[in-house]
Amino acid sequence: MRPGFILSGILVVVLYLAGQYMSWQEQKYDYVYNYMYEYTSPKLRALLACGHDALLADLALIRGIQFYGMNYPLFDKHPVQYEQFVSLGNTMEQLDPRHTEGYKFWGFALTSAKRGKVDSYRFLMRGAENQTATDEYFHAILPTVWKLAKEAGYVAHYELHSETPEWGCKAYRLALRSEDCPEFINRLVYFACKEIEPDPMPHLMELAHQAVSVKNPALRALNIEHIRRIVAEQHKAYWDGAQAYYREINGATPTRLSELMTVPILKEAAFRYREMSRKWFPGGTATRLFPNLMNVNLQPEEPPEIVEAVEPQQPIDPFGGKYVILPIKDYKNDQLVTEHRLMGTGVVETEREALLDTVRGDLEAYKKDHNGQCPPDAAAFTADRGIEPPKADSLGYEVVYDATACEFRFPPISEDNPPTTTPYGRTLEQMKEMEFKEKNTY
Amino acid sequence: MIEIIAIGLNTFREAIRNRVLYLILLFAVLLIGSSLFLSTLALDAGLRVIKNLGLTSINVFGLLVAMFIGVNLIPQEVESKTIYTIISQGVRRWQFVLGKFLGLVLTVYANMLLMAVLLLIILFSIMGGFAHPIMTLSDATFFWIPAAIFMQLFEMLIIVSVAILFSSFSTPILSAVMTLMVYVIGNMTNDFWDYIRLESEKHGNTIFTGFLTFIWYLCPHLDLLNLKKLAVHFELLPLDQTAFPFAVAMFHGFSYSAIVLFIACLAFSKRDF
Repeated sequence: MRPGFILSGILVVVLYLAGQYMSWQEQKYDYVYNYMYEYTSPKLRALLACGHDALLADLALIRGIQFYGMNYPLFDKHPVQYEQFVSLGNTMEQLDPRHTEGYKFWGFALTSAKRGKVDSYRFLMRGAENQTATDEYFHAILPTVWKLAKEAGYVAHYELHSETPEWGCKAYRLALRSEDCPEFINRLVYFACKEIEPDPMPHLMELAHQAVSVKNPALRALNIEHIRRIVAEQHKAYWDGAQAYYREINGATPTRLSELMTVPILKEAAFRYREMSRKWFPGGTATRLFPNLMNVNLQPEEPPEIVEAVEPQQPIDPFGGKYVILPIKDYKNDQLVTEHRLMGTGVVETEREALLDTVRGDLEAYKKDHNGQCPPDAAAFTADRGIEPPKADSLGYEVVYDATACEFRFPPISEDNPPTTTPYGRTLEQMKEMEFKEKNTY
Repeated sequence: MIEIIAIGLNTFREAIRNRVLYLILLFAVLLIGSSLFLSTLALDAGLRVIKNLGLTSINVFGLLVAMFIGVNLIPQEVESKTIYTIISQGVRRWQFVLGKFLGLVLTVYANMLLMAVLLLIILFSIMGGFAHPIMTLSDATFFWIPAAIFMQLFEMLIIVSVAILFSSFSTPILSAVMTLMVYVIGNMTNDFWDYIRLESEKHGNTIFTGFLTFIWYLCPHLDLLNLKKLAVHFELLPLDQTAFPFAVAMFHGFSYSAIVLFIACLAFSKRDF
């Protein structure tokens, strides 16, 4: 090898490194985004990668992460920076159309901008569709499809609040095409698609089939729980009809369930429910579905039983409770108001158990530390253990401490014993603080 | 055959004494090692970065070795007049070319092997291999990454044969530039084909598109042998779906280099020195 040849090589390398150093210095003081548009289109950049497009896609991702960290608060104020960020994402996509992590990052990052939510959905869906594309090597749908489709469904359903109901539905359905798609997506499909497919019957049948066929007890319980939720939703539609009719004929809100339990009201509620469901079908025929079509209160080992309801029949709470109308105290426009709401007690009872479970362990620990003695009152318990027991349940029934039985408990739910405080015993200030946190949670 | 092997081994011995080789190897090792730091910047794509940077390093530095050493092999022998001694010993010119080719291939492969071992060790340790070595090695990564490197060996076969072809009748610098061009064009054949198709759709099948298609057939299709990008995704796919394209690509690499070497032998046999 000639010395001149080696020296030329060294010179080229030195010049290259000097150039890199200079551009780095420039970028340090003049921000990366000033250079985003100086390159050509994403497609040409992919062409110039010359076989090393996967690595360049990774570098585009790293650059995107840095760019996002530096600029995301400015996306809404300076649209150019947002456009530059999108352009970098497109480059990454052109370089490696199956870059799962890249799509996930851009999908997340774009939602930082107000107008980025739609772009985020489209970007994630393109990613998911690219994962399903086939070519000379890929004859199969990649198992990773669901990851991107699930994210797209999330953006459509929660970030965009289902403004276009078809989007979330389409995304979750795409996720289901992947063989590795987790089971919970099946349940998300119902929520995403219910506006465009309001008939709950196919979902109920599918969930019932899964609940019977699946061997995992936890999954079976989840499916049955989901069936209960769907049925409870239909009950609400039925009772809403009953309450609306009551208001029409009496000019007042019902305060007790017994006020709705008259044959004309229940018949009218059933009629209105059928009229509502008539719109679900193209033919406009009356529905076969009535709220009590499923008995989901069986033991998990039993297959869920599907029975035709006889009308006018009062719905059975799918969570095992009963229906009541209760005066609920709550804050609306900074004012404490009382509204009569129809509630199923089964869900509240389940929630009460979960709330009490948080202190049961500490109560046992107290007894152990005090030679089996129970705390004389709730204040003594709090002083000793350093924890506050739950104040009230979601209806506003306050928790009480029974020193004789050595337990915390909630009073029974009934129309004769209405709740005493606001849900969870919250004050107006606590409500405002919660609202503030919800709005500012990223 | 003995002559070819003897020249090949001698070329290999000469090449590994070359300091340029070690310089290139040092850069390659540094680059593959630096992927560990780069991967921390890529959120959950860290492993991908290590794989891609490693595979690219092996490919690019393999190309550099083939270029910088390969283009000098024949001109150096001619310049130092040692070719006269070899030819006068009864070695045929085509045997000399094939020997040089064999020596260069061994050099490039030895380098690539070293880099591949380093990459696999890094991947092994990153994926928690020392705690569960058998489980880690059974991961699809340890099949598809070596598979991608294996395909790169065929890519290098083409590059080395092209370097030998150009060095058989041209100057070293020109040969290096031409070899680099072949590498670039070879990696763009898919896009080239897209362009031809676009032209055909716009203007129909003209003489121009026919000419371009002819050129396309002449190009080495290094795209076929490029599994760098796909190796990351291939882990998710069963082998039976990919075996046939692999076999076609390997056959292409082998046959293309054989044809180029044949032309190199012809060119060298006509050369006066």
